[in-house]
Amino acid sequence: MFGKIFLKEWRENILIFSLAILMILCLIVLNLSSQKELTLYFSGMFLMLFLPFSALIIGSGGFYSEFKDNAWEYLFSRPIRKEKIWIYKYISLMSILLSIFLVFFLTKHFLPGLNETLKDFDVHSEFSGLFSFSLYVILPLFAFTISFSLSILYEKQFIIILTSIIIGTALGFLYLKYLVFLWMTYFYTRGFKSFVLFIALSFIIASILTLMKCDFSQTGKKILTFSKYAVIFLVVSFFLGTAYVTKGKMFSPSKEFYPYFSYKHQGDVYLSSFTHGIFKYDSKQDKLEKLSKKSRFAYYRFSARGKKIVFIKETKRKNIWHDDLWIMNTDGSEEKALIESHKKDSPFHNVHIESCILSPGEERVAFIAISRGIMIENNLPVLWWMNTDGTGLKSQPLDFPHYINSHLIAWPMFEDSIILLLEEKTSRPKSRFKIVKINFDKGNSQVLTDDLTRTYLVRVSPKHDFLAFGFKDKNIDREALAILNLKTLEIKEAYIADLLKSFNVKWSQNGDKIAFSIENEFWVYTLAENRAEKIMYLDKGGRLSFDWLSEGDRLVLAGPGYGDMRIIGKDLNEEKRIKTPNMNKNQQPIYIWGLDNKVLVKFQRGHLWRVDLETEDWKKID
Amino acid sequence: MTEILKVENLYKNFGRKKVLEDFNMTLEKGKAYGLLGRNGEGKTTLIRMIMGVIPSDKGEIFYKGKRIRFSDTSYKSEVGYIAEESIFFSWMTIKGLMDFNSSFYPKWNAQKANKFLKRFSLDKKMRIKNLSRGMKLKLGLIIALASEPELLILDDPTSGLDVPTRHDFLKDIIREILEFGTTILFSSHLVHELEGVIEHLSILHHGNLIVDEDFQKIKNSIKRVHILFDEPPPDKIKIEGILTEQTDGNRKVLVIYPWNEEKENKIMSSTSAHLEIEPLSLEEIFISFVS
Repeated sequence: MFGKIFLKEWRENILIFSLAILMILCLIVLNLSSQKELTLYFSGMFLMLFLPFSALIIGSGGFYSEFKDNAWEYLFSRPIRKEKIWIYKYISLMSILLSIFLVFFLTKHFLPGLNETLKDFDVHSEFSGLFSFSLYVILPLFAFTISFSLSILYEKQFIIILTSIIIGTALGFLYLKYLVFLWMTYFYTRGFKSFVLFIALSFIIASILTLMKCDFSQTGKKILTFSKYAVIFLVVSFFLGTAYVTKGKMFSPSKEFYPYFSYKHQGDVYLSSFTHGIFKYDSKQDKLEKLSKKSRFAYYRFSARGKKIVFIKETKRKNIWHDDLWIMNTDGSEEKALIESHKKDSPFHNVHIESCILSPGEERVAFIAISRGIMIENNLPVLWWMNTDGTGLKSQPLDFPHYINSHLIAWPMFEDSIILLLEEKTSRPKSRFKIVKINFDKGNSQVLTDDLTRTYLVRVSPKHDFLAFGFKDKNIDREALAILNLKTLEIKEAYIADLLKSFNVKWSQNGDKIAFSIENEFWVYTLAENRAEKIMYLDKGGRLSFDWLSEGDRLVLAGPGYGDMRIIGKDLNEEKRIKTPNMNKNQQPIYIWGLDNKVLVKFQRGHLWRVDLETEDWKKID
Repeated sequence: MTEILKVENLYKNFGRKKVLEDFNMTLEKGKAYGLLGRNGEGKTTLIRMIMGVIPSDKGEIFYKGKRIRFSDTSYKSEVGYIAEESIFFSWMTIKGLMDFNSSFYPKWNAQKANKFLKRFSLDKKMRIKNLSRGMKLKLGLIIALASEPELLILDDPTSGLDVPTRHDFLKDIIREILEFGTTILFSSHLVHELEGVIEHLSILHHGNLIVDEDFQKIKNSIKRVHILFDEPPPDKIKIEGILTEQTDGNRKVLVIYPWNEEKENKIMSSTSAHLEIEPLSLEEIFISFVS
């Protein structure tokens, strides 16, 4: 039975398949005659126009011959289940599309030069993680499924194609709006995958049920029945899709914990989740505690003394996100808003707050603000500062006309100045970074260096007296780990390498040492001795994660592919190894926080665990 | 006698139009049933519902005592069906269509199929789209018969056929089928053809069966009665079962069902009229019931 239907469907669609093969042959000829531009253009037409429309045509014609010949009556009077007819037809028609894909991708793979030529198409799309070529397969298959599901309703293919396009687009728009509503827009890939899968399934089920239960001769009734089932299953699929997208996210903040927005203080770890807020892992109580009441954090900073947190929180009003500046104690108490830019009467209404920092004494807070789309003083960023009780608001425009964005790095204790990292647009493809010091009392700015590399890894020491960063040594055209003394403004090259590949940096708790990794090498630099010592060479693995334990002199190392967790002792020799649980390919430790004889570990799937270094006992925290 | 098919309290509407309303019918094994009705009365709709092509709005259908749901298909392997319009996949050949169908029916009899192909002078290599209406009907019949059905449903299959083919089909083939013990449900509006073929008559009118009886019994009990009065006849004759009544001068012509001796005596006793009684053909019976 299946064989007969398979041959029938292939026979009826042989023209489209032949056309596809012809186009691929043209592509081959163009490629062999080294017509790169034409090959690209032709490939674009094939991938972006021909494939999706072929999918729609094949799908919409799913039941066309049954309508045309009235053969549906004949077929339904045979001893074959209607859902079987549907499934056999679906598979048979799908095989035509898949065959076209197969021929194309085999040609792309084996034809010399074509793979290289078509590389421009093979890029990460906005749907991060989803290569364009997979999009070129998924979208036509999705379009085919929708149009085939609708093809039972009406015989006119053009109407089915048009309806499929309208419905598919409308549903896509609704679903993305729904993701925005859930504050899940950064899960586009996950959302896209669930959208394609669950929406397609909804249409398949609705179509099969309509065929099984409805009078095929009555178009109106079919449409009503199909719509009824489609709505039910679409609602179910939206819930399922939501659950899939937010899997764990709604209930498990640890999936959003990253080292960049985390702080260690007195044996505890403070972690930030974009949607859930600020949390504290309390080492004594051995559990995770939520500190902030509100959620949707863009940015947060601890004071150097560790008693207060200042943070930027996003608030949505009339479809626009506003940045509010808040402050609270480390224990979560006395949470209050310093700036509520979402309020129309706020002087900061419609202003974007980029970063913030607390003064060493915690009596002041500074932040960078820039108006959204409004030209104020050539659209320069403005440095603001105020007392933490909300009084004493002052500002100073930053005289950097080619500014793109900025980040407040340090507020030294020894003078009234502030250090920021500034990104400027240049005539070269890459923008330029500067470390700038702003003097509050003098009101001037000073560029401390503009030869930075690896700018995402500018690290301030715990006392805000030194900066560690990647540095381009022009004299020898190599990269170096540089240490900038914020008091003397002297820059020392702690370690010089050809390239600071897979670079990572961590200051020790009292700021006298820096642990850093370059590719598979792990080093420790001692400030006082101005000496870098290689601790270890790790022969395989992914990104290495490491941290100082809270007592200051021991280190912990872990990462995907490195096997057991390693503890480095005070003498910088390996002290012991600790087995991590669930050591399989998909559950490796990716971030670690060293505490007092404990290590907090985040695994690949987002779960947070704690290991006691003495007992080697593991406990799941979140 | 065992039931092979039973239809209970069936309803079907198309929009606001009620086609079948509380319809009931029973088919017994091995008999030939004639289903008559005017155009649009719902014969084809009923058959489609029996064949699971379209669902009913309400009611039950039983095949061999087992309830059939719209999604059931297993019973169809024992039911042969020839539709009013023999529609097949036009691009297929006869052989292709035979092969296509043989996969559905476990009892498919290829020898029988070939025998009938020869008898009907059909070439296996011919394409469906090149067949005439008569050829398609024959092909439909071959497919239906080759599946060795226990129940054969024919929905007005002979309309549009030439007389010799119709004759051959009705007289010879139907008889052959009946010899195998196959139950036949023959729906047609070419009433006269069914005479001599059917054993049981059902007439569908206004959504329900107004006649559902052994054909010979009906034939014996429905009469056209001519009453010749000496004087102008009364407006109405008070007799039960008058299907039609016509007056022509002093003559009244009545079709009465059921006609019996009691009614004859009643007429004779109430008037001094002269009575003539004559039987009706199937066509006349049908017209009398539905007019």
